[in-house]
Amino acid sequence: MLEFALVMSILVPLFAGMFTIGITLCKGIQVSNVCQDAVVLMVRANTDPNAGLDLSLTQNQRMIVRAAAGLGMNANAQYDPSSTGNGVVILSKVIMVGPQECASGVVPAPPTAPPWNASNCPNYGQYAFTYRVVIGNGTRWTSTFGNPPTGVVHSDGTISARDIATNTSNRALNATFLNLSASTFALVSEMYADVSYINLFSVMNTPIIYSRSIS
Amino acid sequence: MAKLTNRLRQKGFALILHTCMLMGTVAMVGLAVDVGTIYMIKARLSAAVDAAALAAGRSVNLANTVNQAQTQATAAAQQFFAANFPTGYLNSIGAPTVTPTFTQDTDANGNPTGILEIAVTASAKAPTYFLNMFTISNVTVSASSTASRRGLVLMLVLDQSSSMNTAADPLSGLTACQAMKQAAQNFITLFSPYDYVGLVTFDITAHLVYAPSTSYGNGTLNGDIGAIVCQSNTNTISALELAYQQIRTVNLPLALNTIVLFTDGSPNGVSANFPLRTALDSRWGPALASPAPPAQSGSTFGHTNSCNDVGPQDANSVNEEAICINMPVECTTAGTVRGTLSQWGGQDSWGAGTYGLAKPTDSDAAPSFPGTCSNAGGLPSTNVRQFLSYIPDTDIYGNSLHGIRDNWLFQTNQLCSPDPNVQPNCKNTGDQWANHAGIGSGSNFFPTVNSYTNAKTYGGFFRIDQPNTVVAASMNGTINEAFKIRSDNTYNPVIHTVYLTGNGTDSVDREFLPMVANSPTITALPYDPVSFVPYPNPAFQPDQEQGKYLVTADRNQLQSLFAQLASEVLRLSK
Repeated sequence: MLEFALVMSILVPLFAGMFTIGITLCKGIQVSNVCQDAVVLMVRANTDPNAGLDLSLTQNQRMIVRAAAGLGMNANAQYDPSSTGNGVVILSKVIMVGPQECASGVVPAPPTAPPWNASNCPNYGQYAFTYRVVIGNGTRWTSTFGNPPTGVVHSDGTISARDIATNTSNRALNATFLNLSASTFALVSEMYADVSYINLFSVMNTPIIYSRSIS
Repeated sequence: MAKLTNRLRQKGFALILHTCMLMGTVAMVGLAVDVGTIYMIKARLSAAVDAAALAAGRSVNLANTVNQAQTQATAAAQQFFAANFPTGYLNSIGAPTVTPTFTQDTDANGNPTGILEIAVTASAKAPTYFLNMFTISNVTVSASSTASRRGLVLMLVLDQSSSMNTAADPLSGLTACQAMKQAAQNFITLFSPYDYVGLVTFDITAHLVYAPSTSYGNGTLNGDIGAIVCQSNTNTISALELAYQQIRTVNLPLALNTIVLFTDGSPNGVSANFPLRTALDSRWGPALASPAPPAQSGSTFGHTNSCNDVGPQDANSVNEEAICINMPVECTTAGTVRGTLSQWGGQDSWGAGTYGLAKPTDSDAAPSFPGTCSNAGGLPSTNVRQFLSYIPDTDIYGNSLHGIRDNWLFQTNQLCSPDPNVQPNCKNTGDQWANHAGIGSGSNFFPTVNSYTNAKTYGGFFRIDQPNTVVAASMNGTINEAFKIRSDNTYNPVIHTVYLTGNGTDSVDREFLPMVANSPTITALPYDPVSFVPYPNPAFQPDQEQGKYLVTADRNQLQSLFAQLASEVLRLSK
């Protein structure tokens, strides 16, 4: 009995760790795939606006929530995203503001422009959001790039040319690693998923899986 | 006793057994960790390679040569790969290598389809922890992805009519013609050397200035745009047809085949086989001096009948004319003459000049009148009304010249901009003629009854003697030409339109260019009141490609408008 207890004291944590890490690995790959699927949908929507892929609509968001089946993002059997669930997918389009964005967003153009610069176009040379859609529990997690200020994101997820060029609160944080040149953009999908329900014996300190895909 | 001895002998066996098992279990756990790590790295590598391929496809633009484009695309692929797969991800060893390759897709017969395939492969070294004990310190994992970029065949169709020769803008010092050239020169720098870009310009004749080519970035096209001289009339239909034929010639069915039409006014040229006028009728004067016209008396449409240039001048400083009763015929034998007829008196509804015939395109033969027509040596001229009977129902491209503008009156329905900076501030935008009784002849058609002497000789046909009607037929023809182009299910062309308002006489109503572009909504002109509410395009074709319609009253905004359009085109071609 003593021997068995001794052995089990090693085996139980080992098996619990194996279980937790194994399932987390599976979930991690799923989260990564959801991000990848989401960014591909964004690319498609961005490439062909007539494709009917408006990801601000619940019926289109269901595609992403369905890909995240088992991660606790859905509110019902129809895979509507839950605003209080265990996960969130954050879709952003980040642009390096250049002359083109300034010409569209600063209207009428001031006498000093062109050339455009930070004094006649406040976000010139900065990373700014041009699109943001949050699917799922958006109150619990925040994008690593920060959030556009309240009120600037339209119901379809877009942000006005004026806010892109001039609203300094609409800048994306921590985006310098993207190394974008002027007027080029990156589509970003990020996902957070809470997997604390598989965290046996609290093997993981923070049982949250995060992944992002940038395209 | 024996039982006790056996039990004592078995003591510690479980520990030994489990220790042995533990070695196997630890080995399994170690293997699981290694394989799990490799799997995670492989999954991330795969996602990063997908992103790299898409980024490379997007970055093929903005270069003058294929080599430059490939260099840029490779850099973008590496940049987006690094953003998704940071060096050292999950302790992976070294910097992964990323290699894009570029291949033009071909059909079964080896012909290019217009699709550029960008394949990206990458490999990374995943670390091992358990396997390291067996001298396997890392495992190379690789992933590949292919993105396809839809090529672009872009025909730039630029209006070089005389109305573009405006006074210089006080801010930029540019005429509308110069502003257009500058914007177009900037526009063509925004595409990829994998794309085909060509140029058609048009006045009364459409000119193929630069056949679509991938070498457009070598400076020739830039020079051609710079050499544009704005003159003469606006033969939009032939220009669209010429651009369309170039798209067919390039023959890239899967490419994004696009026409960008820039204009500052309504079309006013119709290319057709015009029937010679061999029967006596009465129509807007003046008539040639020979054969001598009959003496005139009485009045029609409130003006004393006359075969001379009588005036008075209308609001556009163009002579209003009078009806010439029994205008003499010049031709004795029936036949047709092929060419382009244009208006020469604004969009006037009181007669005034119609002009022609001119060559529809540079490759067409010059129109010639048969020897059975007297005075033909004096043509082309504004006297063409005496030689030709009416505007036929179809043009030389098979387009119907009838449609939504059949009963349109142009020089009416003045709108004034609420913004005093919009210059000129007010514009006639046209209306249904039925709403404006007493203006001109009241119709674009020759009467079907003799409401005045010999009025119905060519009854029911479009008047050839009335500038308003030439413009109406041109608008119908342009809308139908655009419809025909968009109906092509092989090349699926898209037509975008850019409108610079400001033309002194030939302004465009708010519906015409959205109809040509097949834009779903009719939006405000700069002259529309603030209360204007956009409404659905009455001619919208949901089954056809939708183009973008952009309008400005400020020529200094043209560059920005063209850039917006480039952004639209590039977004669709990625």
